[in-house]
Amino acid sequence: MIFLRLPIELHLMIIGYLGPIDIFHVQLTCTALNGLIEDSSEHVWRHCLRRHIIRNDLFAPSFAHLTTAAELRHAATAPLRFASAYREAVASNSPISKTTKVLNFPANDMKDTKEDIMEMYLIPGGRFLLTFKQTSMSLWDIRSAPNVELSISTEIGAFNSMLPGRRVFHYRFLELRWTAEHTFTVHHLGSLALVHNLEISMQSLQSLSIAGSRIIILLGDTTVVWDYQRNSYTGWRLMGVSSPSELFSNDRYVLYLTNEGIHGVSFLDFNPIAGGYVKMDTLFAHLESPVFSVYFKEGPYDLIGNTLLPNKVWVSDSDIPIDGETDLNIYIRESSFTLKVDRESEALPSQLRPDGRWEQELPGGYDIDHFADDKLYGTLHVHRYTFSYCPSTPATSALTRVSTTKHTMPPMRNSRYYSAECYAVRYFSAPFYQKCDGPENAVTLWSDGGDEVFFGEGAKPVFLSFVDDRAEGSNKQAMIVPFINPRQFVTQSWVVESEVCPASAKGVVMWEDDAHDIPVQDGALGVWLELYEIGRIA
Amino acid sequence: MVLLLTSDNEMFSVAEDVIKRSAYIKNMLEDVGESDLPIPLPNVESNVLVKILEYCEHYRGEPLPASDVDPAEIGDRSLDIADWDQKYMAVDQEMLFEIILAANYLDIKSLLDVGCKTVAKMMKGKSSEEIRTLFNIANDFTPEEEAQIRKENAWAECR
Repeated sequence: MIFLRLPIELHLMIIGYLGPIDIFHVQLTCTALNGLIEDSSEHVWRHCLRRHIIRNDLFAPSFAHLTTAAELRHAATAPLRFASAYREAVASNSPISKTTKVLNFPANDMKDTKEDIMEMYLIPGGRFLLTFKQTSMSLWDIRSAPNVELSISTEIGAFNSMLPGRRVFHYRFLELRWTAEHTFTVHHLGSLALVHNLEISMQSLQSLSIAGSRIIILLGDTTVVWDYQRNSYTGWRLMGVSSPSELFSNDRYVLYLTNEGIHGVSFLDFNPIAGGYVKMDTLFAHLESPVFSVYFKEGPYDLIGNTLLPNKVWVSDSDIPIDGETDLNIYIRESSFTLKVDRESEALPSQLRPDGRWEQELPGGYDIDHFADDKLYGTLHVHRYTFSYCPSTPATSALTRVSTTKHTMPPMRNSRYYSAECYAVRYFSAPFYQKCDGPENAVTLWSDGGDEVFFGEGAKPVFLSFVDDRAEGSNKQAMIVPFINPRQFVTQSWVVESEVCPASAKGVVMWEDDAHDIPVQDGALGVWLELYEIGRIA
Repeated sequence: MVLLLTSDNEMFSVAEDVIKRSAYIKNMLEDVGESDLPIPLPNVESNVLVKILEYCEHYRGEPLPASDVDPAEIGDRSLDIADWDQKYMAVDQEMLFEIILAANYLDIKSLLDVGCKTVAKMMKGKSSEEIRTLFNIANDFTPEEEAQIRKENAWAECR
């Protein structure tokens, strides 16, 4: 028995386990296998795409409209285009290559859609864009870009409101369902209001985790667990640990991620919610210490922040199963503006191009004495840990460092954006990591985040770096390259929101332009959204 | 006990709960009921059946997978293979393909998946030339044909 004599359905079954490049290599072996793949190309690429969707946890309806083998293949090979564009950007020290389409929203929705968008998410898969305004949520279909279609819109009520002397945080739990008719329906599963009389700023850390019907909210130093099905809650303040930066959960514990490690607190008794709200200042227990703690051996870290790699990207960081079988990836970002790293960065001038285009230059307003302990262009270390939760004895759970990646930024100049703000790289932040393709591949979005007045509240990702799982060893290097061309900042325009979906090689950026910051034509402001297809066009 | 007759006329007597991992035989037993007549397996040789029974014996008592579940749907598209299965599959290529064919014929879904995964794993990351060597395939492309395929798959070159 030889391979070529297997029946076609078994060949297809085997090919169904292969990735795009392997399929291409099989095609090039001989006419028989090439013919087989050509004849069944739709089947082959549909399977390959489905595998891509499952591995990267993409929102499957994003691809429901694709029919031809070429379309399916284009979608399945998106991570390759992304990775190759990234490598090219690193090699040429230039922004990642992409094509741009200015999104054209339906005329009637123009005014409504672009004003006051508070948040924007590109749902992994690259077809649906979710936007939040103060009182409504809209889901847009951008598959026929530049034309945009409204998929569904729903009123959600105000996010936050003020009572005299009190601040009210409203939470609504909505579920979007994709129906057999290829449309969405919205289901309101529950709502909760948290009433504070404390001074809690809007900038307070808010983090969310969902475990079954329980939604865990971390607001400032207070944890509230809300069971939306039973309409009940419990809550506490946790003492004796450094402030958590993220939380996740399973059916027994709330798990806090701090610079020291992971702390677990088991749920306290639940109380019924009366009147639809919970008064934060009256009802909470104070816990002196967590039930169990697992520490980083190398810690505590001098964190800039840290990030979990969620298994369910589509619901962002809210649904991370910790059942003892699934290892959780945790990324620790460590400030590297230490003496040691400063010395490393002194080697940077040697990376300058011979034509002197990237000649290092101090930005305007850069006070060398004031910033004497910093370097103009920094590096950042990102440690990847896995957390293996042990359900029977949680205290023996393991936190294991898998790899460390050093992210560096090539020196750049000749743009207003960099030259004015680049010293702020020490405030680098990475809003999230996304699985690209493969267990080790991780894309990090970075932002300058230096000038909040100029760039709006919060840091917007305008750079990205990519850790390729083909890189050998546990110490990896990644270059940070511009996601948005610095030239685009030459005018008065700035980024309001930006999102990237590496697995579909797409990105969306919401821009605002000072020069047009006056009502023009039906009150539309100088705001526009751009869709990027990352990678070269074949 | 169930009697099985292989293509080379060897008779095997197998416990029912062992061979029921084969959906083909399970259905046949349900349709025909108790019978003293052997079930002929004209597509399976005795040396392959011995190997197949080793697999069924090992997983004896484990719940049968739901027959209508597509592995792609439940996310089992990784190339991870359990340790025992890996050792079990450590056979020469000829036997590997015979196991896959027999698993397909006997409708033993889990074994078929493991077999296909094992082959896919052998191919993964290999160049076209390495795949040819692996399976002893002759390159019968003309240079023009090969250039044409490369041209049609320009996406694969940009790495």
